Amino acid sequence: MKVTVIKDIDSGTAVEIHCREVTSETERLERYIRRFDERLTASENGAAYNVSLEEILYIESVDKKTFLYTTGHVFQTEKRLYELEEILDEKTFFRCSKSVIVNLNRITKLRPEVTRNILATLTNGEVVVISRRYVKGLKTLIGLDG
Amino acid sequence: MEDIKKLLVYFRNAMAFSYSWLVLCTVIVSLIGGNREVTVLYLLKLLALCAWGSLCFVFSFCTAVMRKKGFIFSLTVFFLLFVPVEVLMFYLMGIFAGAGTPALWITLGVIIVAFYISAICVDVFIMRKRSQKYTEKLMEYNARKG
Repeated sequence: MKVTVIKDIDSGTAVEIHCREVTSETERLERYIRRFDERLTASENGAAYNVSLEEILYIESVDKKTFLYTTGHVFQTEKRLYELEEILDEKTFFRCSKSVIVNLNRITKLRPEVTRNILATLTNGEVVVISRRYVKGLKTLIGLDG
Repeated sequence: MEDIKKLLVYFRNAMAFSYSWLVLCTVIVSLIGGNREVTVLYLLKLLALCAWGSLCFVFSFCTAVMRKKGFIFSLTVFFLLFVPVEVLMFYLMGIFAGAGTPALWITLGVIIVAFYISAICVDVFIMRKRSQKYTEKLMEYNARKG
Protein backbone atom coordinates (compact mmCIF):
# COMPACT_ATOMS: atom_id res chain seq x y z
CA MET A 1 0.00 0.00 0.00
CA LYS A 2 1.39 3.37 -1.02
CA VAL A 3 1.01 6.20 1.55
CA THR A 4 1.58 9.81 0.48
CA VAL A 5 1.14 12.99 2.53
CA ILE A 6 0.47 16.13 0.48
CA LYS A 7 0.31 19.61 2.04
CA ASP A 8 -2.11 21.37 -0.30
CA ILE A 9 -5.14 22.59 1.73
CA ASP A 10 -5.45 25.54 4.08
CA SER A 11 -7.18 23.90 7.05
CA GLY A 12 -8.14 20.48 8.32
CA THR A 13 -7.11 17.14 6.90
CA ALA A 14 -8.64 15.29 3.95
CA VAL A 15 -8.06 11.62 3.18
CA GLU A 16 -8.74 9.99 -0.19
CA ILE A 17 -8.35 6.30 -0.88
CA HIS A 18 -7.39 5.40 -4.44
CA CYS A 19 -7.85 1.78 -5.49
CA ARG A 20 -8.56 -0.41 -8.51
CA GLU A 21 -11.58 -2.02 -6.85
CA VAL A 22 -13.21 -1.87 -3.43
CA THR A 23 -12.17 -4.95 -1.47
CA SER A 24 -12.82 -5.89 2.16
CA GLU A 25 -9.38 -4.51 2.97
CA THR A 26 -10.28 -1.16 1.43
CA GLU A 27 -13.49 -1.07 3.42
CA ARG A 28 -11.53 -1.91 6.57
CA LEU A 29 -9.14 0.96 5.87
CA GLU A 30 -12.05 3.33 5.23
CA ARG A 31 -13.72 2.28 8.48
CA TYR A 32 -10.48 2.79 10.35
CA ILE A 33 -9.95 6.29 8.94
CA ARG A 34 -13.55 7.32 9.55
CA ARG A 35 -13.34 6.07 13.13
CA PHE A 36 -9.99 7.81 13.70
CA ASP A 37 -11.53 11.15 14.57
CA GLU A 38 -14.99 10.15 15.73
CA ARG A 39 -15.85 11.71 19.04
CA LEU A 40 -18.69 11.94 21.51
CA THR A 41 -19.59 15.06 23.43
CA ALA A 42 -19.65 14.40 27.16
CA SER A 43 -19.03 16.22 30.42
CA GLU A 44 -16.98 15.68 33.55
CA ASN A 45 -17.28 17.93 36.63
CA GLY A 46 -19.27 20.48 34.63
CA ALA A 47 -16.72 20.83 31.82
CA ALA A 48 -17.56 19.63 28.29
CA TYR A 49 -15.18 17.33 26.40
CA ASN A 50 -15.03 15.61 23.03
CA VAL A 51 -14.20 12.03 23.91
CA SER A 52 -12.50 9.93 21.23
CA LEU A 53 -14.33 6.65 20.63
CA GLU A 54 -11.05 4.76 20.76
CA GLU A 55 -10.52 5.93 24.35
CA ILE A 56 -13.86 4.58 25.57
CA LEU A 57 -13.62 1.32 27.52
CA TYR A 58 -17.32 0.86 28.09
CA ILE A 59 -20.56 2.81 28.34
CA GLU A 60 -22.95 2.25 31.21
CA SER A 61 -26.45 3.43 31.96
CA VAL A 62 -27.15 3.98 35.66
CA ASP A 63 -30.46 5.43 36.90
CA LYS A 64 -31.32 6.82 33.44
CA LYS A 65 -27.94 8.57 33.18
CA THR A 66 -25.30 7.44 30.68
CA PHE A 67 -21.62 7.31 31.57
CA LEU A 68 -18.58 6.84 29.35
CA TYR A 69 -15.65 5.14 31.05
CA THR A 70 -12.11 5.79 29.83
CA THR A 71 -8.82 5.08 31.58
CA GLY A 72 -8.94 7.34 34.63
CA HIS A 73 -12.06 9.32 33.66
CA VAL A 74 -15.82 8.95 33.86
CA PHE A 75 -17.78 11.24 31.54
CA GLN A 76 -21.52 11.76 31.46
CA THR A 77 -23.36 12.12 28.17
CA GLU A 78 -26.84 13.36 27.36
CA LYS A 79 -27.44 10.52 24.93
CA ARG A 80 -29.32 7.41 26.01
CA LEU A 81 -27.78 3.98 25.69
CA TYR A 82 -30.01 2.91 22.81
CA GLU A 83 -29.16 6.11 20.89
CA LEU A 84 -25.45 5.41 21.31
CA GLU A 85 -25.99 1.82 20.23
CA GLU A 86 -27.43 3.13 16.95
CA ILE A 87 -24.64 5.65 16.37
CA LEU A 88 -21.65 3.49 17.27
CA ASP A 89 -19.98 0.91 15.03
CA GLU A 90 -21.62 -2.39 15.96
CA LYS A 91 -18.45 -4.24 15.03
CA THR A 92 -16.52 -2.45 17.76
CA PHE A 93 -19.11 -1.50 20.36
CA PHE A 94 -21.03 -4.51 21.60
CA ARG A 95 -24.13 -4.41 23.81
CA CYS A 96 -23.10 -6.87 26.53
CA SER A 97 -25.94 -6.44 29.02
CA LYS A 98 -29.10 -4.42 29.54
CA SER A 99 -27.13 -1.44 30.79
CA VAL A 100 -23.63 -1.77 29.28
CA ILE A 101 -21.98 -1.37 25.84
CA VAL A 102 -18.36 -2.51 25.74
CA ASN A 103 -15.55 -1.54 23.33
CA LEU A 104 -14.31 -4.87 21.93
CA ASN A 105 -10.94 -3.31 21.04
CA ARG A 106 -10.33 -2.68 24.74
CA ILE A 107 -10.93 -6.25 25.92
CA THR A 108 -7.77 -8.15 26.82
CA LYS A 109 -9.31 -11.36 28.10
CA LEU A 110 -12.59 -13.25 27.91
CA ARG A 111 -13.45 -15.74 30.61
CA PRO A 112 -16.60 -17.87 30.28
CA GLU A 113 -18.23 -18.85 33.54
CA VAL A 114 -20.21 -21.89 34.71
CA THR A 115 -23.17 -19.52 34.99
CA ARG A 116 -22.93 -18.99 31.18
CA ASN A 117 -21.96 -15.34 31.61
CA ILE A 118 -18.60 -14.18 30.25
CA LEU A 119 -16.24 -11.96 32.22
CA ALA A 120 -14.40 -9.51 29.99
CA THR A 121 -11.22 -7.98 31.39
CA LEU A 122 -10.45 -4.54 29.92
CA THR A 123 -7.11 -2.87 29.28
CA ASN A 124 -7.31 -0.99 32.60
CA GLY A 125 -7.96 -4.21 34.54
CA GLU A 126 -11.65 -3.56 35.08
CA VAL A 127 -14.06 -6.44 34.54
CA VAL A 128 -17.33 -6.17 32.61
CA VAL A 129 -19.94 -8.93 32.68
CA ILE A 130 -21.28 -10.11 29.32
CA SER A 131 -24.62 -11.51 30.41
CA ARG A 132 -25.77 -14.89 29.08
CA ARG A 133 -28.53 -13.25 27.00
CA TYR A 134 -25.90 -11.47 24.89
CA VAL A 135 -23.28 -14.24 24.82
CA LYS A 136 -24.72 -15.86 21.68
CA GLY A 137 -24.48 -12.52 19.84
CA LEU A 138 -20.84 -12.12 20.82
CA LYS A 139 -19.99 -15.68 19.77
CA THR A 140 -21.59 -15.10 16.37
CA LEU A 141 -19.78 -11.79 15.97
CA ILE A 142 -16.30 -13.15 16.70
CA GLY A 143 -16.87 -16.38 14.80
CA LEU A 144 -17.20 -18.83 17.68
CA ASP A 145 -20.62 -20.12 16.70
CA GLY A 146 -20.73 -23.64 15.31
CA MET B 1 -33.02 1.61 43.51
CA GLU B 2 -33.90 -0.71 40.66
CA ASP B 3 -31.01 -2.96 41.66
CA ILE B 4 -32.27 -3.20 45.24
CA LYS B 5 -35.72 -4.16 43.95
CA LYS B 6 -34.16 -6.83 41.76
CA LEU B 7 -32.15 -8.21 44.69
CA LEU B 8 -35.27 -8.33 46.84
CA VAL B 9 -37.06 -10.28 44.10
CA TYR B 10 -34.13 -12.75 43.93
CA PHE B 11 -34.23 -13.06 47.74
CA ARG B 12 -37.97 -13.74 47.73
CA ASN B 13 -37.62 -16.36 44.98
CA ALA B 14 -34.68 -18.10 46.65
CA MET B 15 -36.50 -18.11 49.97
CA ALA B 16 -39.73 -19.49 48.50
CA PHE B 17 -37.87 -22.18 46.55
CA SER B 18 -35.63 -23.36 49.38
CA TYR B 19 -38.27 -23.21 52.12
CA SER B 20 -40.95 -25.08 50.19
CA TRP B 21 -38.49 -27.81 49.20
CA LEU B 22 -37.11 -28.18 52.73
CA VAL B 23 -40.61 -28.32 54.27
CA LEU B 24 -41.50 -31.04 51.74
CA CYS B 25 -38.31 -32.96 52.57
CA THR B 26 -39.03 -32.59 56.31
CA VAL B 27 -42.53 -34.02 55.85
CA ILE B 28 -41.21 -36.94 53.76
CA VAL B 29 -38.41 -37.72 56.26
CA SER B 30 -40.89 -37.51 59.16
CA LEU B 31 -43.27 -39.92 57.43
CA ILE B 32 -40.50 -42.36 56.54
CA GLY B 33 -39.03 -42.15 60.05
CA GLY B 34 -42.42 -42.82 61.63
CA ASN B 35 -42.32 -39.51 63.50
CA ARG B 36 -45.64 -37.96 62.47
CA GLU B 37 -45.22 -34.49 63.96
CA VAL B 38 -43.34 -31.37 62.89
CA THR B 39 -43.17 -28.62 65.51
CA VAL B 40 -43.71 -24.92 64.80
CA LEU B 41 -40.35 -24.19 66.43
CA TYR B 42 -38.67 -26.57 63.99
CA LEU B 43 -40.37 -24.82 61.03
CA LEU B 44 -39.29 -21.43 62.36
CA LYS B 45 -35.68 -22.59 62.65
CA LEU B 46 -35.92 -23.95 59.12
CA LEU B 47 -37.28 -20.58 57.96
CA ALA B 48 -34.35 -18.79 59.63
CA LEU B 49 -31.88 -21.15 57.91
CA CYS B 50 -33.55 -20.56 54.51
CA ALA B 51 -33.57 -16.79 55.06
CA TRP B 52 -29.84 -16.78 55.85
CA GLY B 53 -29.09 -19.12 52.94
CA SER B 54 -31.08 -16.96 50.53
CA LEU B 55 -29.38 -13.82 51.79
CA CYS B 56 -25.94 -15.41 51.34
CA PHE B 57 -26.91 -16.66 47.88
CA VAL B 58 -28.17 -13.27 46.70
CA PHE B 59 -25.11 -11.50 48.07
CA SER B 60 -22.65 -14.02 46.64
CA PHE B 61 -24.12 -14.59 43.20
CA CYS B 62 -26.45 -11.74 42.31
CA THR B 63 -24.79 -8.49 43.39
CA ALA B 64 -22.92 -6.52 40.72
CA VAL B 65 -19.65 -6.54 42.66
CA MET B 66 -19.62 -10.29 43.24
CA ARG B 67 -20.66 -11.15 39.67
CA LYS B 68 -17.49 -9.49 38.44
CA LYS B 69 -15.32 -11.64 40.73
CA GLY B 70 -16.17 -14.92 39.04
CA PHE B 71 -18.03 -18.07 39.98
CA ILE B 72 -15.40 -19.72 42.18
CA PHE B 73 -14.92 -16.58 44.25
CA SER B 74 -18.70 -16.25 44.69
CA LEU B 75 -19.00 -19.92 45.63
CA THR B 76 -16.21 -19.60 48.19
CA VAL B 77 -17.84 -16.55 49.78
CA PHE B 78 -21.18 -18.35 49.79
CA PHE B 79 -19.74 -21.39 51.54
CA LEU B 80 -17.81 -19.30 54.06
CA LEU B 81 -20.94 -17.38 54.97
CA PHE B 82 -23.43 -20.20 54.86
CA VAL B 83 -21.73 -23.39 56.04
CA PRO B 84 -20.91 -22.30 59.63
CA VAL B 85 -24.50 -21.13 60.14
CA GLU B 86 -25.81 -24.28 58.46
CA VAL B 87 -23.78 -26.47 60.84
CA LEU B 88 -24.98 -24.46 63.85
CA MET B 89 -28.61 -24.63 62.73
CA PHE B 90 -28.40 -28.36 61.99
CA TYR B 91 -27.08 -28.80 65.52
CA LEU B 92 -29.82 -26.62 67.05
CA MET B 93 -32.53 -28.29 64.98
CA GLY B 94 -31.39 -31.72 66.07
CA ILE B 95 -31.40 -32.92 62.45
CA PHE B 96 -28.72 -35.46 63.22
CA ALA B 97 -30.53 -36.70 66.35
CA GLY B 98 -29.20 -34.26 68.95
CA ALA B 99 -25.48 -33.74 68.60
CA GLY B 100 -25.32 -36.29 65.79
CA THR B 101 -22.67 -38.90 65.17
CA PRO B 102 -19.22 -38.17 63.67
CA ALA B 103 -20.24 -40.25 60.63
CA LEU B 104 -23.20 -37.96 59.89
CA TRP B 105 -21.15 -34.79 60.27
CA ILE B 106 -18.38 -36.26 58.11
CA THR B 107 -20.98 -37.13 55.43
CA LEU B 108 -22.16 -33.51 55.43
CA GLY B 109 -18.55 -32.29 55.21
CA VAL B 110 -17.75 -34.67 52.35
CA ILE B 111 -20.83 -33.51 50.36
CA ILE B 112 -19.79 -29.85 50.73
CA VAL B 113 -16.10 -30.48 49.92
CA ALA B 114 -16.92 -32.76 46.96
CA PHE B 115 -19.20 -30.11 45.48
CA TYR B 116 -16.56 -27.42 45.97
CA ILE B 117 -13.76 -29.52 44.46
CA SER B 118 -15.85 -30.50 41.44
CA ALA B 119 -16.67 -26.81 40.84
CA ILE B 120 -12.94 -25.97 40.97
CA CYS B 121 -12.13 -28.86 38.58
CA VAL B 122 -14.71 -27.62 36.06
CA ASP B 123 -13.25 -24.13 36.38
CA VAL B 124 -9.62 -25.23 35.96
CA PHE B 125 -9.96 -27.93 33.30
CA ILE B 126 -12.86 -26.71 31.17
CA MET B 127 -13.39 -22.98 31.66
CA ARG B 128 -9.71 -21.96 31.45
CA LYS B 129 -9.32 -23.77 28.15
CA ARG B 130 -12.46 -22.09 26.84
CA SER B 131 -11.18 -18.76 28.09
CA GLN B 132 -8.03 -19.11 25.96
CA LYS B 133 -10.08 -20.06 22.90
CA TYR B 134 -12.53 -17.17 23.34
CA THR B 135 -9.72 -14.64 23.87
CA GLU B 136 -7.82 -15.86 20.79
CA LYS B 137 -10.97 -15.60 18.66
CA LEU B 138 -11.64 -12.08 19.90
CA MET B 139 -8.08 -10.99 19.13
CA GLU B 140 -8.35 -12.50 15.64
CA TYR B 141 -11.65 -10.68 15.15
CA ASN B 142 -10.18 -7.34 16.30
CA ALA B 143 -7.18 -7.78 13.98
CA ARG B 144 -9.44 -8.75 11.06
CA LYS B 145 -11.70 -5.72 11.32
CA GLY B 146 -8.75 -3.40 11.85
